[in-house]
Amino acid sequence: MRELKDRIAASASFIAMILAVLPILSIIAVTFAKGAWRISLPFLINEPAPPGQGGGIGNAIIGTFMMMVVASALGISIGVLSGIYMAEYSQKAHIFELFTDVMAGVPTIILGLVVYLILVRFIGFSALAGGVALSLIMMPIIARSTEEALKEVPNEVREAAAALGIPKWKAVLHINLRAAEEGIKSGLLLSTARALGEAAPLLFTAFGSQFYSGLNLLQPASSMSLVVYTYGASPWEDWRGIAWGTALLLLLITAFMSAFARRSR
Amino acid sequence: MDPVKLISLFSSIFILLFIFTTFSSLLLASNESISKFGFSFLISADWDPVEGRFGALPAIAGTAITTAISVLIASAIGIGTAVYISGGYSPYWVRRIIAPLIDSLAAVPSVVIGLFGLLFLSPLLENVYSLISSHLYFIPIFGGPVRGISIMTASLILSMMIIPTIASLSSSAIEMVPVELKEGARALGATRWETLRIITLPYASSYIISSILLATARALGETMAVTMVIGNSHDMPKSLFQPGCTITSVIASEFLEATSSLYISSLMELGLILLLISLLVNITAIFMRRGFYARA
Amino acid sequence: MKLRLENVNAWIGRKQILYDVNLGIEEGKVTAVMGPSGCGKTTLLRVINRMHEEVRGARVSGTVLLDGEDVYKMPASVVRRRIGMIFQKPNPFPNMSIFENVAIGLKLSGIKDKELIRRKVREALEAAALWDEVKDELDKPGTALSGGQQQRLCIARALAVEPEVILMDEPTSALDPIATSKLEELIRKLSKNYTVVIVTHNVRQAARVSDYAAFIYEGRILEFNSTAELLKNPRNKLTESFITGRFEMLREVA
Repeated sequence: MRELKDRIAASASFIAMILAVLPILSIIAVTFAKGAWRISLPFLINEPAPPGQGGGIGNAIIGTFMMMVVASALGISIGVLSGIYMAEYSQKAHIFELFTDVMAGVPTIILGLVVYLILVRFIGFSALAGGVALSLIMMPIIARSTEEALKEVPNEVREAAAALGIPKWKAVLHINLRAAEEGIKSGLLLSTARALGEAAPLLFTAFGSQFYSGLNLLQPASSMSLVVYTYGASPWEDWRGIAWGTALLLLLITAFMSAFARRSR
Repeated sequence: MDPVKLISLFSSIFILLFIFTTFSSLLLASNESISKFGFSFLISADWDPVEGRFGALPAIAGTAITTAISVLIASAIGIGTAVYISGGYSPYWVRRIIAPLIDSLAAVPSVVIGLFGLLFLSPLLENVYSLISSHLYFIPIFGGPVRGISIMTASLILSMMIIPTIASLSSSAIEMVPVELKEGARALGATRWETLRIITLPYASSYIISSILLATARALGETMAVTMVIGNSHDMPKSLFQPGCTITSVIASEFLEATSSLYISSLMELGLILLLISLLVNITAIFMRRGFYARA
Repeated sequence: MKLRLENVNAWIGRKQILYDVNLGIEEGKVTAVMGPSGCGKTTLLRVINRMHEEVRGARVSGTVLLDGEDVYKMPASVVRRRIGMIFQKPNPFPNMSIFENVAIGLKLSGIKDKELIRRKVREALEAAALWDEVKDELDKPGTALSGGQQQRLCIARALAVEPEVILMDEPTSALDPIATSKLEELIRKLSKNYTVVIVTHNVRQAARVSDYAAFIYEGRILEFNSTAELLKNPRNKLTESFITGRFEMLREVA
């Protein structure tokens, strides 16, 4: 009887595992099947066109790139510095850690609303606003991973630096950060992969666009994630195909970044 | 004196202030609808932009239902998976392969999952729902007419997204239980299941629960995938197989079309409600996790 | 006297570690500080280069004079550049090459001239008897070296900033016998240009490398003399039992 229960548990948990693995396998399979043949040079370079006339996601790729640059600049600077503070200077680090973790848990659409209220009302829908919204997603992730990476630097390294007469702040910038390199890099990669896949915060900040706008940060911009959302929900077969192609692109990019992040751990 | 200390302190304060800024800006923006509707906003199902009447109940109910169903499904599958890979039911190498595979879902952008749900899963599920509904039509939640774009599909998609969280954290929790305890039970002749039931799972329970809370917070805040498959209907949810809405789907679909300031303000108020709920869940999860580490 | 400790007491929190330490360290000689574990030898060292105060709750009273100047009245970073320290476990900076490890102290004190830095790195590695072994592999990570080599790397790193005194806290306790004897040879060589203070629990090592020796027990200096004298004619009973190895027996009786 006891053996029977054990056997049942074995089967049930096996089924659970299969059910857990099924989603990722099917998503990968379906996305490849529907999206692979959509990816071509014209696809990557052209602007969107009305349904049935080809068109591509060139402007979305540029938009994604611009917004990621803004997001990374803000997210990395504030994130890394905050992580440094929590790991190296703060006496009450747990309070900052709490707020950082809470920030990480705020629904991304709320982040979009906030940036709308604070920024878009003044500078309009823009790649800049989109970038700021994405930076708010990256910041807490980078802050915590930087903090963790710095905390792993053994104390003997700090002692060696102090014994050489190196002032604390120089040691932190040149020695500790260097020692914590791998952990910090993996945090950067993971947060970037995360931000790439977000569309909710961009809905009311970057707004989306059908045109190239050069590298103008103050114009509305599209992103690959927005393309998947808007084109995927459209009634035209053509455009839905573009959504699949873009989805595959996003999948591949985030997969590579996450794989790199794991290797540098 | 220490320049890095100063600059890094400012950065940390920025993050600190962020929460307050978020809260206060949403509060201010909701002012119009709060003063107009007061408490009735929360219990009214009347959503009429033309007449200027807004009630949040369907959205709140939709959020609650999709979150609850998805967390239930994901907990069962997630904990079951954790039991399989860490509870002694599979050789060690299985964990090395399966765990990263499951975790990789967390790296998939939510819009991609939403696309998968919208264009692939919902047509498929519509047939399944038809089947169920044709046999169980007397149960209201299975009532028709069924649609693939529905509350149930949204819940399933959400559960897909949070299974990795629960599975990997529960798996870690199980492995963190001291080996001596587990071996002690096994040496007494306990089966794997008995060891889990009596020793391992109780010990790891607070950690597992906090992982479920974390997954709940994630489900609450998920926007894109849900918006793409739930249909955005402001009817009070009656059947699982019909469209509904959540707070996130309402904001996402309607914000850019909102014409009046009252409309916008109501959407902001919805956001505020969501913020408060998710803050509550998040903070509880954080403290539970701290409690576990303090004990261990 | 290069270094003078006068009435030095040290605490961590409520616990007192050093009691009325008075010691004179002569220039250009190797002075050993010996004693059983936990008796305060490391703290003694750390009081000299002001590393002790890095610990939470640390307190020091008394005076430490370097060439007659009060070390506690100078900026700590200046003190530590004049008095270098080698630790028990070699601790090269991670993710940095051999070259970078030695150069970092120079770079961070403002030296920008690349040629100058390269020259000083070479001199430091030569003085640490490591140059010949690593001269073709300066870009290799510091952590890729053997234990003994890492310790010599740490010495080179300390020498690069041109200290006057070198403090060594049981520098060979983590090394194998061959690496140990190489390091002891290096210590004797270093005493030609630097003042060395070495903490050790190994009496024979003290005999091999040091000119002077102090015996410290439970935070007090019980005896101080030239090494030869101290080992031949110890004046204190406890010193005698420590150096003859019958220390544990005597502690039980006393």
